[in-house]
Amino acid sequence: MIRSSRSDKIFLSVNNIVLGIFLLTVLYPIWIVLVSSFSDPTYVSAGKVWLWPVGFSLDGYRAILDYKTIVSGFGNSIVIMVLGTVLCIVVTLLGGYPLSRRELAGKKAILFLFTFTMYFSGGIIPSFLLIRDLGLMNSLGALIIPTAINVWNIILMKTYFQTSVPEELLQAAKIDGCDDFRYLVQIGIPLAVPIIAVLALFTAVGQWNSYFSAMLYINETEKFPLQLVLRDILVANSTNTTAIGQNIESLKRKQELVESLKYSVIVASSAPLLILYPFVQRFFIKGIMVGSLKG
Amino acid sequence: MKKWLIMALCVLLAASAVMPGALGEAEMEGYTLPLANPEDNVTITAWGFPLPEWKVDDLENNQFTQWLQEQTGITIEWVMGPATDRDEKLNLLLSSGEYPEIIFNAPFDPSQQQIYGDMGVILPLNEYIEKYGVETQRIFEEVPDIKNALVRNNGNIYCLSTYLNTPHDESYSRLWIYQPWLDALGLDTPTTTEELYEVLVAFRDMDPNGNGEADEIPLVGANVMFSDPFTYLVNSFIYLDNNNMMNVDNGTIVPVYAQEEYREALRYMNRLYEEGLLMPQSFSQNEQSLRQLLSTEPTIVGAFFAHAPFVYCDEPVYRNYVALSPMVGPEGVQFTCQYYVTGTTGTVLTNKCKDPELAFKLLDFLYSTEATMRKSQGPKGVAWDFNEDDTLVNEYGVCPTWLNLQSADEQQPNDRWAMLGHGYQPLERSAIYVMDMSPDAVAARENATGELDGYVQIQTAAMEKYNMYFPPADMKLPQVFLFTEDEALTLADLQLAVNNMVYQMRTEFVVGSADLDADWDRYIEDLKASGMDEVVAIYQRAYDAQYK
Repeated sequence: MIRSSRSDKIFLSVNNIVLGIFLLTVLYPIWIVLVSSFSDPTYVSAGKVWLWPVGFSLDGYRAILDYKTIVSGFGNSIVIMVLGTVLCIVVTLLGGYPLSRRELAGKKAILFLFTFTMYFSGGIIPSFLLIRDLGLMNSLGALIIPTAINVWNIILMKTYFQTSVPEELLQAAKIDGCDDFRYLVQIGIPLAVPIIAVLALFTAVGQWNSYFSAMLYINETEKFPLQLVLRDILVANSTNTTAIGQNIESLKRKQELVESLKYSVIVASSAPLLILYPFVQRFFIKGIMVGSLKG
Repeated sequence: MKKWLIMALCVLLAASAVMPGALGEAEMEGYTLPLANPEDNVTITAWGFPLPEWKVDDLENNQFTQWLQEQTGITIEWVMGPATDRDEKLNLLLSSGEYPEIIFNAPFDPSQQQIYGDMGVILPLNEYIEKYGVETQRIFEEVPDIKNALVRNNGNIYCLSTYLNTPHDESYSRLWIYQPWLDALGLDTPTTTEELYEVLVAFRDMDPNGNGEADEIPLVGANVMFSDPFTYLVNSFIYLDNNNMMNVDNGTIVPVYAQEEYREALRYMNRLYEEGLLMPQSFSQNEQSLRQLLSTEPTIVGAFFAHAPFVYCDEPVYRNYVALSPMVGPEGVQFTCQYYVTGTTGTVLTNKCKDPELAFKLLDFLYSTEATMRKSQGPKGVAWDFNEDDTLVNEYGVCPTWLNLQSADEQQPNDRWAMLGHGYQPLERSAIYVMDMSPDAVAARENATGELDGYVQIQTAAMEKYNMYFPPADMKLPQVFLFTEDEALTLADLQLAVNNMVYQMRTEFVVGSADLDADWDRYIEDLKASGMDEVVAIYQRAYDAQYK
């Protein structure tokens, strides 16, 4: 056991203190949101909640059930997230792996075309017209197909295969009679688990948080994802309502709505991702150690 | 000028009252319900959006939608936008040509209606009003101003607006003072700007909440439509309408923010600010912060600006705040900002409409009494019902035509459209709360709790202390200006820049970042450079064309 010198000890304790303070500053807002969601809304708006729930009540969560669209939005978001992530991973693997193989014909041209699209996009209206002409309006496809391919991810995947999976492995497999597709499925994917995990997490978070595409393309409230519904509720009392005609009753109701629902809705909508993350995290750590590469 | 205006209105009223069919050569055909045979499965697409504060998030299974569909035999297919950013989505739909047939609560101001109408995107409704607009013509007769607010350049009407007349909506900008402090310090209710100053000083110095600390906040506002300090205080020096900020003086359009009286108003406010009487957050905080200030124990806010205190304070705190009439300024000026109850925007029919006559009949039906009531108040017999009792009196002192049966907490989700769509609710009909005038009831009301008294508080404040200080009609800027397309485009840029500069500079003058003597001339020059003169000239041209 190496004894740490005095300067080491000082450094470690200062380091821990600084990191501890940083942790508190980041953790405290999350804690307050959690605590406020379980408190009586009147105490929350009066600013009396700062460490523990005041006037413990589940009213915030009960109020959520009044809104069918929050519940349906939750379901929609999960479906979109899962399907979108699966699609994205499948497509990225199918795109990234072949590009990592030296003998692919036309590799340079394909790579050039892919990277070319990274520099600009058509804009909102051309995208809208494209989705409409493809017949994807108001459907799940409009939300997951356009974002399924991200060239950056494909390049990431390609680089990963090129650097972490040695050529010798492929040759050894070929000698044993393995064809390309089987190689990808049985050897490539298990080795690529870390990168797939990272990709899955980022895509899942992106799909869960996405708001803009859904706002543009989805026309029925039953199909709204959670973010669309949440934004209406959380931003309700700051909207410009000149088109509706501001009226005192609306204003009062908006105040009450925001107070009662705000925190419980934030907790309910962040919960899935917070739960998901620890499961994915172990792949980051464990991934590279598992496999046929030793030494 | 005023005489001519009144005469013209009388002639219009008489003319429109005499012959409903006189609007054009078409004869009134009217319609019967149902409008379409349910067997035929007639559908109309319509633009809608959820209103979470009214628990409306599903328009398809909404009780009012179902009642409407039963009555008319038409099924509505909804194209939904989110409640926030719905204008963005609507604009996108319009640009790409994928818009529905009916657009409820269309965000097009009069100039935009003109532009879209000329392009043919939205349909003029005049011939439909003449032939089928039974209810529409009825409300035009009852309140001619509704029609005046809707007529555009070529005489066309493009939208059907909502009319909701409650006196407390006409004067929004009010000052509420904490009565217990006035009593504790033995002060009279202030009536002039100087008296207000004295009272605020007393609040600051004499520890009226008795806790030994100088934690009192004499006067505070918020950066929210009904609570900004300027709309109330500047009206003691010159009439200020916070949107356009222009008045009419003998037929000449005058920009209020460049006048000497306005400068004096800012000087007064600067004095309040420098002496710690007007809290700095009044220019930046939002409703939540104001709410927090008002919910402390013991009370620290002496006076604040708001449309209605019950929005910001809970029971029983808001009852202790008493409304103050507008203060009389040093030159004897005493106005309050008057808002329009007639709307210039509303429901439009687009050129995607397969059967405009049918669609219009649906829209006209929404103006009928029962439809408007069900749309905005909920299901009949559950949330409200018609009044049979002649002895009841509502908060305006008239016998109400309907009564509220349900409180806000008891409301079921998706039982109405609330603010979506258009409707007609004139004063006599509305009976948010009914006041029983028997002595027992009056006594009981002294101790009553709940929203009832919040509304009564603002109704009486409006009627007794504010609505008599509206400016004369010839001083106010008219509601509708018909600009040409070029003018509208110019105004869109310039007026925004000028107004933003005004909002920014007035705060700077009050907090002292800019000096009212040294920097005033430069401020005027900057306004001119931003286009103030062009803006005024454009308004002047439109005013001369329409109203002279």
